[in-house]
Amino acid sequence: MKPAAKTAEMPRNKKIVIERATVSEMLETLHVRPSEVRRAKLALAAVARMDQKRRSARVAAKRSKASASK
Amino acid sequence: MLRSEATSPADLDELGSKSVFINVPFDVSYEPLFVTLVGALTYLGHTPRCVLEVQETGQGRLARIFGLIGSCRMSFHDVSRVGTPARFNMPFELGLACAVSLSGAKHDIIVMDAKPYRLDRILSDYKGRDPLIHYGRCDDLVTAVLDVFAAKALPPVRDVVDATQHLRRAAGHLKQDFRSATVFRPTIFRSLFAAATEIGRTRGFIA
Repeated sequence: MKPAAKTAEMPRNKKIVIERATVSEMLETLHVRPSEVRRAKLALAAVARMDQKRRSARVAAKRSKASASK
Repeated sequence: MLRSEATSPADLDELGSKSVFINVPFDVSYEPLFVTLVGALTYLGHTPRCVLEVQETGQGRLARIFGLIGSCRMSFHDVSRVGTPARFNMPFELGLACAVSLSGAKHDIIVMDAKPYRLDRILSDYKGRDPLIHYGRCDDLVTAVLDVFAAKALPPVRDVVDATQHLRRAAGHLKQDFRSATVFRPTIFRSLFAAATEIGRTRGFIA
């Protein structure tokens, strides 16, 4: 296995401090359109649905395994 | 004037001071790392900017790229694509960022590579600075990016890694939704960023 990224490989010793933006500032900076936000939310909802399906399948598999072993 | 049309590195305003320019190869095999970088920076409260914002209108493109780099507080440059066909965009934009920095603007430059000790051989002019090494792996990239910033209220690495995995899955759905083979399109990039802000907000990384 390859070694993990180490602090020794950092570009400089000093750490960079830059101010953090709020979500609204970030969206404003990139000129994100409402339709793009909507599509992002749809994609996240699709991920959540897949997760839910996977969880349900896992529970069903456990149940059938348990009932088969009885 | 649109922010991406800025032409002078001197116009580092309040929003620009929270922006980070990312200069990476736009190829399919780099997509997971690109999505990870966009996510990690967003979760840390920084706005990722890249040349996807600069439209291919020809005239003045170079000036607009230079202006975009100059409008950011710092930049990440991945020089890991060193094979054939030769890719000159990344070292070229790194040069532009160095020009911004040398011109006296407050601009930090972070160079990334997939292999340790290689940069000294391929870019000897840049000797003396160690690059971030990500080994071509998304989780190592997150660790490396988190290492760059001061630890003031940084989220735990494990949480950021988990959130970037979430974003990579969302990126797959976005590509399907836009019927695109790649995420390297302006509108997908902005949607991806919107998804990252949503994940970051719901997980409490950003407000």
